[in-house]
Amino acid sequence: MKLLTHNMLSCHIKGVKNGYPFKIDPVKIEEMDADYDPDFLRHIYPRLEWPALREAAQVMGEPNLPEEVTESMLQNDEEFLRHFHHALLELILEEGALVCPETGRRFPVHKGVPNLLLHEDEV
Amino acid sequence: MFSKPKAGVATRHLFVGNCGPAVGLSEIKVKAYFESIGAQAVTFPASERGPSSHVFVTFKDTAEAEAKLAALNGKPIAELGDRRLVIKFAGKKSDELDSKVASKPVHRDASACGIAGLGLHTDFVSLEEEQGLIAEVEAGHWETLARRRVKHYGYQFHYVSRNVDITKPMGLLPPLAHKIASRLEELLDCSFDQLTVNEYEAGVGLSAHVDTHSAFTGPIVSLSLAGPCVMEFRREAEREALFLPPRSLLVMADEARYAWHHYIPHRRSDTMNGCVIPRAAKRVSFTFRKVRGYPCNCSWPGSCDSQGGGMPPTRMALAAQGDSPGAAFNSSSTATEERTRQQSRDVVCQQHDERQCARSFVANEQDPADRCTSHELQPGLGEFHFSPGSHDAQCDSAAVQHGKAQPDQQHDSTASSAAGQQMESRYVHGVYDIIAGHFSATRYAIWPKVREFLESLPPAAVLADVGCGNGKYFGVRPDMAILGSDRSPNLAETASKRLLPGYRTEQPLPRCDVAVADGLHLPYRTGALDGVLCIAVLHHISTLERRLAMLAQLARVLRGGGRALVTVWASEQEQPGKLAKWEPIGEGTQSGGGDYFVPWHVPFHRVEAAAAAARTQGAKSFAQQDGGPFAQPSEQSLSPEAAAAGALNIDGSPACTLHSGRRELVHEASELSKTPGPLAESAPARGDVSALDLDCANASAQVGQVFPDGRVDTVKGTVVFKRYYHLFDRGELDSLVHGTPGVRLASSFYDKSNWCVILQKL
Repeated sequence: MKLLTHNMLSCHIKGVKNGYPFKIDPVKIEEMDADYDPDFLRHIYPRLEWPALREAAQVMGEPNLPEEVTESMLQNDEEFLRHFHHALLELILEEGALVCPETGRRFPVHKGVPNLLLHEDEV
Repeated sequence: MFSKPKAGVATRHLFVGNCGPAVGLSEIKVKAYFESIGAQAVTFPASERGPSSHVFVTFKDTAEAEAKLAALNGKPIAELGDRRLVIKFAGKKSDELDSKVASKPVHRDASACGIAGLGLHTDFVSLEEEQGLIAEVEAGHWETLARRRVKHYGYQFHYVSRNVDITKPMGLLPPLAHKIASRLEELLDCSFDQLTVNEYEAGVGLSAHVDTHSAFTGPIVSLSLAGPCVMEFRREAEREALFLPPRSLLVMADEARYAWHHYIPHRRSDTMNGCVIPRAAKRVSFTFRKVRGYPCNCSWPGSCDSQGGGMPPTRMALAAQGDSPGAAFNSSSTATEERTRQQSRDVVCQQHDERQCARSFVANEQDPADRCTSHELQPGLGEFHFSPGSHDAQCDSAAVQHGKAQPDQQHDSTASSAAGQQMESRYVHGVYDIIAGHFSATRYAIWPKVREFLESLPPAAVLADVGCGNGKYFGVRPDMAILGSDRSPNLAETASKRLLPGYRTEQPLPRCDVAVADGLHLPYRTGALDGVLCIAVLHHISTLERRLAMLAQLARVLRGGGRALVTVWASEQEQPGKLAKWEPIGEGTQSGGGDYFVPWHVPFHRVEAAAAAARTQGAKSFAQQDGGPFAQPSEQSLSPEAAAAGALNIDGSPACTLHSGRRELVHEASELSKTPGPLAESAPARGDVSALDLDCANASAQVGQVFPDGRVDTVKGTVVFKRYYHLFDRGELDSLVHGTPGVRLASSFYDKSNWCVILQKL
């Protein structure tokens, strides 16, 4: 599971108000090369919740994302874009768990695939 | 074939773990590194389950392999991104076989082999005849195979089907060969009308095979010319070796012809009783056979293609079928290409082992979705009659009539929800989890309408593919971020394999991911997504209320202006005949449409079928009677009723899921654990039983999962599962969209037996 995906996920247990973002409990993190495409980063940026990505990236071993992102950074700050790219697409949570920030419910991640099925009493 | 060596035995082969495409190290990189440290060969394990995370490395000798193991094991390797390798000795099967055979005597006299029907006549032709025969066939067209060239007279032998076309005789054998054939007829008292000439270079052998029973009758004889070789014979655990000197005639009749595999090892010299005999630069064999033209009725059904036994399809046959879903999963695939592929597959089928083909492809016959050129399109509008019926159906009619659905006024939502959940758990989730591998292997066509929709989305769009199955749409828009999800953990797993670097030949998918999730409870934040795909999923939802709930989920996760494509099977089918074969549930609905069980056939040779059958004693005994691949000794006999019906219910009960992986069986506390001994262990190797893994880890995470009923169909040679479908009438899907708050119906169309809508978030 990539942090791009993590950024889109939210705990969907019935009644949970603050289910975003999942906390990450990593057991095994893998790195996978992805083609660097700054245009993709510029397009995807507005779709992201930046603080959630930044926080998750820190947990996953990419501490270099800034708190604020400006338009000029997106346009021509190569160093920033490389870190952004790395955090978004190249860090893979292979084994571990996603933890609901409100209830503490753990959703296991196995072989890179999170299991987000709910129990009967959660729907 | 590498294997685990005996404990403590050093070999010249090393197993190197944590290394390979699955951990991000390309084959080229790995190969280059090991070659740089003196490896003679680097072998990547062939796997149907995506890229591997280990390789086998062969060194010159055991000492060198030992030294490398000591030097490299567990240490970070700079050339391989500082990865720490796990290194062990590996055995190699062929080495073991070679040494076994080498230690066994090589006979000069066929009778010493003790194989009934095997004979060897030395100096059967003179030196002049030898040269004359070779010269006679030299000119003209030769067919080039992987490692040797061949030429046919009398009838063409087709390697794809391993058979001859008896309707196309090519005339008499050339004069000298004809003369030899006449001599053979005198000797053996039977005729020969087909000649295959094989030319082997030194080092080239012949793969183990039994000549197709249905292709040829009588003895098969082979004249060795120009050079010697040692031919080996095997039947189960037995091995024999026979020296074939030049100008000798090998005769294989009866058991030797029908039951024993014969082969020539690929090697440059043969060792015979301590002496090394180099192979000649060239060896030419003249194999004389008599074409049959009718089914074989021999006493060795296990190796007889006419009697359900025989060999798996050839590599060439598989290649001709395009039997790699990965290769077929290609964004440029068109419907026409898929159709062509299907047709060529059918042709191959008719040509070879009919019985086996009937098994392999019966599911295609049965399940329309298989045959179709597009996603889950299914032909067939037979005669059907509906009358007022199920609770759910009444609600549907109401929804259609009112335009707006009001489920709460229609029925008790809690009760309906529980019943719906149970239906889907049993007849959708459970089934797909079992058939995942087989289902996935049949899903690769890219539906043009889906492509069109995907191409209409903005650059770098974020899309949820809800019910993504094997993830076949992931590669259509590589610039997009696609979040696939499936309710079936096993289907999700098939999709996740696409994400691994080097998965088959596909382009990398660095912006896709897969999750196990329920479309009724999507785990995405509200308003996050530009698009949603929901292809052939909604028709598996069994109540109106739940269908509306799913649409509401799709709407929730879309951003304003975001669009979703939703497709479902239509009641109005393009091709007649199929609907009548499906099993209506309840009484149908007034408005048409309604609920059906649609069968999914898994051919016996698939591992999924073996696993399903493994759950019941009944299937075991029945399969045994059938001589099918699950056959094993069993005391249990069938009731005459069941035998008469030609089908037997599998009592599906244990909660446990299946996915490919290691060979192990894990039992949950269930009836399964009462079954003595896992059947899979004893199932023959025709299916990929070694890939069987009943693993309850996934199942235990699921709520109230129950196993679907499966049924053994001995006529078709399949295990049949029922899948729940709600077929949609014209306008029904539209009205569901109208009943979903916060969206508008952007478009609605019918395409190839599916109703489709594009809905847009307001």
